[in-house]
Amino acid sequence: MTSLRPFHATDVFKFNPTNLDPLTETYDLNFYFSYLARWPSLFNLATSPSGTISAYIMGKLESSPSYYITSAHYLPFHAHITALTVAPHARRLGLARVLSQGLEEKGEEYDAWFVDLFVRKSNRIAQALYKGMGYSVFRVVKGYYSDDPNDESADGEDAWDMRKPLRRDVERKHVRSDGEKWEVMPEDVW
Amino acid sequence: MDNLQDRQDVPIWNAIEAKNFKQALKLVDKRLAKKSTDYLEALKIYIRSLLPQVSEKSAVILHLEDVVARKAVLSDLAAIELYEDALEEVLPGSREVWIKTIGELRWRCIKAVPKNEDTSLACLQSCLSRDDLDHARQIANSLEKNFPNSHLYIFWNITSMFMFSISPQCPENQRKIWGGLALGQIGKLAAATRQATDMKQLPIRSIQTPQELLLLDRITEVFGKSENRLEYLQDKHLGPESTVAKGEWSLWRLRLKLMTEANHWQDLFDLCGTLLKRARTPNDSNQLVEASFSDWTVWEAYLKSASKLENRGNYNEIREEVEAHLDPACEIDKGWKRNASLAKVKLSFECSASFSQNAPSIGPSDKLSSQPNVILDYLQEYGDASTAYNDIRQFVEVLKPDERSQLMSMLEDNTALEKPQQPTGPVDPEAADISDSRNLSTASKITRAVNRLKLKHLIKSSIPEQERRQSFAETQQFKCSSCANDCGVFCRSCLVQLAEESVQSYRSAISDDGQITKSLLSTDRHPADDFCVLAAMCLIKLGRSNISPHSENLKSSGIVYLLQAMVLLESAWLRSKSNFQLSLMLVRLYSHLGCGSLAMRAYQRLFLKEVQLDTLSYTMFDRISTLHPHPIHDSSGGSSNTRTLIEQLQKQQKLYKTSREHINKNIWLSFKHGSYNSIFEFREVTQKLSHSISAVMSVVETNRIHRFITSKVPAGAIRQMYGLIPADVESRERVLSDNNDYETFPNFESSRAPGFEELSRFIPGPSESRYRVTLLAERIMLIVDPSPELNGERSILQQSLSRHIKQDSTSKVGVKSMTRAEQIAAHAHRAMAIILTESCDQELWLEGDFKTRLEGLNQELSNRLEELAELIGAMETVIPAFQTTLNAIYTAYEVGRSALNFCKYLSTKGKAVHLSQTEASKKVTQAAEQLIRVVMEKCAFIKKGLDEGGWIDKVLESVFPDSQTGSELSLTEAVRKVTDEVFMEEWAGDVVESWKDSIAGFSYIKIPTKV
Repeated sequence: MTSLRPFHATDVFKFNPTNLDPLTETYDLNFYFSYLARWPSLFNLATSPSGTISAYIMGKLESSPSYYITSAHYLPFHAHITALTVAPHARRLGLARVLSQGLEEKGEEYDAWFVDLFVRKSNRIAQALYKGMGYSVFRVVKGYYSDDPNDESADGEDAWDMRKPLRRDVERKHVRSDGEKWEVMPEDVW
Repeated sequence: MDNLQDRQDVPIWNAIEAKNFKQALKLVDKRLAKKSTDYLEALKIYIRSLLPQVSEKSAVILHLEDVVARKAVLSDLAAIELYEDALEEVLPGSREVWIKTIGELRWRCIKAVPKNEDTSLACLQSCLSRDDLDHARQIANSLEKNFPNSHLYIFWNITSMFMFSISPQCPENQRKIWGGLALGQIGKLAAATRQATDMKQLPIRSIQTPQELLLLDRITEVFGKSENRLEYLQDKHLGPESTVAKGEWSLWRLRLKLMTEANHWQDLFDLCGTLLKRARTPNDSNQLVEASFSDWTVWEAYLKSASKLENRGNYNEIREEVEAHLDPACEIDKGWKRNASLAKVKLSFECSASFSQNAPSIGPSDKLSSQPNVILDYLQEYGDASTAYNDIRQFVEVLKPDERSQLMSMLEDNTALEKPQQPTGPVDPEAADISDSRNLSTASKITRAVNRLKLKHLIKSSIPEQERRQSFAETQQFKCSSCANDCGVFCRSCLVQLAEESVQSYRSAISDDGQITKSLLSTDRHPADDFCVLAAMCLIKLGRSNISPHSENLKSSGIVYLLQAMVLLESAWLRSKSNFQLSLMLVRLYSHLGCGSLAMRAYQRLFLKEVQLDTLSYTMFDRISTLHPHPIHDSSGGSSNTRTLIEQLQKQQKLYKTSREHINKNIWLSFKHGSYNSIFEFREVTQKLSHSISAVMSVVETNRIHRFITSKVPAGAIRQMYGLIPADVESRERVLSDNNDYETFPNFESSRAPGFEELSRFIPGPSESRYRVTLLAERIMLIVDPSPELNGERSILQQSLSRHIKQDSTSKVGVKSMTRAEQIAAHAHRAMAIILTESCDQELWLEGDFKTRLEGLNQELSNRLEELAELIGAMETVIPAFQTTLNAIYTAYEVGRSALNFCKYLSTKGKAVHLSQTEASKKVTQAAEQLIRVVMEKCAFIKKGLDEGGWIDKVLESVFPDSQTGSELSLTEAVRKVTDEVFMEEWAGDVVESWKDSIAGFSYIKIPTKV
């Protein structure tokens, strides 16, 4: 079954089914709570019939700070998927799709230009999912992740910055068809 | 030098930074002599707070109290901040004194300069961070009054009033006042929104955001009427459909919930029908923007309202909606389509319950309307998803016995479970192996087979077990409804059969010539893991049902099953290292079998961080001091694995401290962003963390480990204890918060039965009552601890102990939550607590029966010590030492040692103790020494046994015993085929090493030096 609800602060006591998975990082409470404090409607989860957490999405709506406006890497007002995680037992059910669609709708409602996210270069399953939902690679962020869960000896891993344009971007100014060729460094990413 | 106000103060601050406090005092006095200011006065107090003398520290408190008492108003915020820093130096983290002094000064400051917005904001933030809700409320009120054009401050005032009214700080007679005011004010704002003509230009004093609507609902829930809540949610300007709500889904959920509670069945039915229709209707751009209305919550409410209305026509409407959702032309996402399919199943069951005769057809033929067939239909469509079992379990549980048998036959035949295009038919038993490997060649086929097996386990094992558990049979002897054999609660024959089938399926799935196994990334889990988990569950049940309390022989069949479960799980982990459920089960099994270091190895594979340390550390650290109190030999390498037990517990304790700061920070951020709902949720998290039973566990286990290893508890650990254990914990009314996560354990049991986490407990799990008992014991052990470091703490601890004894005069010890050794220890500690309190209370000496009573208490203590010695002495089959043995040994040793310290402590009190205690203490000492001797003898016996050779062979013989026949032999052979010799020998070696490592702690056990 698919049932969504907002993430409550006390859900941090119950998110182990998603967060014990090695691809999901567990941060300090400040991280989760700052999203609940600033963008409570963009932090949602899916539950199982027994009420356990099957998946959740953390999102935000923002633009780069105004002092950054002259930078080539300035980001206009957009929605960002900070975390989207599905518990191993609940994969292939379409939960990631319904959760991210919810964020896209919020992006549309607040007149954002696009939705973006970062995904590990090695995470082919997630990339295929996002491509299927209309996301494309905008740029590659070199060494964005400090670790590589598939290779303990590696220094880090690149990220793909993927984007899906929203209605406001009529001319598709904020997406690229050849994004995999565009490389930036982590410090260029706000 | 953050507080520097004047260039002339620079030398003072330089002296402070150089820690030359005498010089700093001299300089500040000089400046004060010229001109006295609030700032300089405060600076002087701050400097005094930095001085080490206790008298100076007391003077700081006295000065602060004096400033408040003389109604001083400090308009200089820097001066207040200095006082605040001074208080923090003297009484770190003190909340009550802070409120009375700093909170009061801050509020007076606001009253003096109400138009200074920055000062008001700073003071409000400060009061909120200290949970000073009364002053926060007053400051928020001042902000609203003085800045009437701020929409935000109106809601801050309401939020603060409401927050205060529901907090323990609010006097009972004021709750309704402040709550009522909050309700009244927000009600007016709601009315303004309702009356507005232009929703795009709402007045300042109106509700304008979804969070404000949620606040309205929250306040109305507590202080208003439920019909008002529903009225708001149904209002076109305030409900989920309104412009203000911005489609906030939680408002829809609330509306459905309240309509259900109010029995508004027809309205609810109509609403759900409308929402579901909207969900599948594209907008002008041909997009399904309201697809999320197909949420299961809506379907459930739809079906529930139909069942209450008892009108067949309603069911037909639901059926039409289901069909419309499932129509291939409907482009709604598969996640939502699955809800419609599940609704179809539920519809069949609801119809059956409502109209047992002539239920409306919900499928293409009458045959498909039979309930087992409806379940199979669902499995055909969704059986390749892991969640199918959880989706369907609730329906299988309500099948009648004959329907269950029908479904079971279908599952046994393995027909009609695949999607129609796949071949079906009876399996040729001789070709079973080949057929299995063909059927399990892809992830989706494996998942289907796993779901099938989980359902078989549910019907054959879990549901009947629960029925037997609930029966009133006195003998616990039953006839199994599945196999017709005699059985107890667990049917051995069925479990063996299920375990074997699971193991064989697992082997088939992993013998896939690399199709799945070799393509798995290190972060992936194998789709066949659940075969292994299910097999291990059956083996654990078999193990549990074949263990007698004193039988811990490697050859007992119970242990054979448990060892086989461990082998399966450990070998599965090698193929699927990210599967945390395998690791959770292994932690439990290794702990039970006394393999502390291997349990720790499995625990560390979970890589727990942050709040997970609160929710899951119980799996390893609950009772760690009576399983493996000494340093764990690091067998797995890696920097994260080298932390000592104490360091790991300290890491958990750090979480509680940092979390407080994080939460306070985000409460303020929520105020700033108008996220009012989050504020209340954060406060709930604070409450849960500050009263967490896991925090109590970490403190108690830390102290016990310190005491065991070094014979004393360092002052730092005691400070940590005061910081983490809430002061109100002694009160029985104060409930500790059990934040432990028991749900992440795998669980395929019936939803009406205990979860597998509970079923797999070999000793009682974490409980509030046990932690309260351990806290009492901890206090006693600290009071009687001979370490001079504790001299300053004893009187505080003694007072707290006396309070506890007076408040809780019952001698009840929670039996269910403790092992036998722990129960006896709890009685012994309780006797010690009363003796400690009463033998020194000279007023009580005057009571006529005092001496007899004191003798009785001492006799009780001696008896308990003797009882423990008998328990330890009677333990016969103790090699290797499993958890129950280790728990008894370490518990007995701790009690014996604290009894000796107790006698020593009383002997130092001289005439302050009743005269008769001297003689009584001699007897107690003898009993305690005898107890420790018995413990040491048992330890020597166990050590000698484990020092003998051949243990690896014994383990291997136990996992694969020669003596088995029939189905048990067949099961053992199946397990054997999953592993290979190299793995088995290495694993058996690890187990033996771990047993030896566990008893290395015995070397710390000794009789303390005599008085």
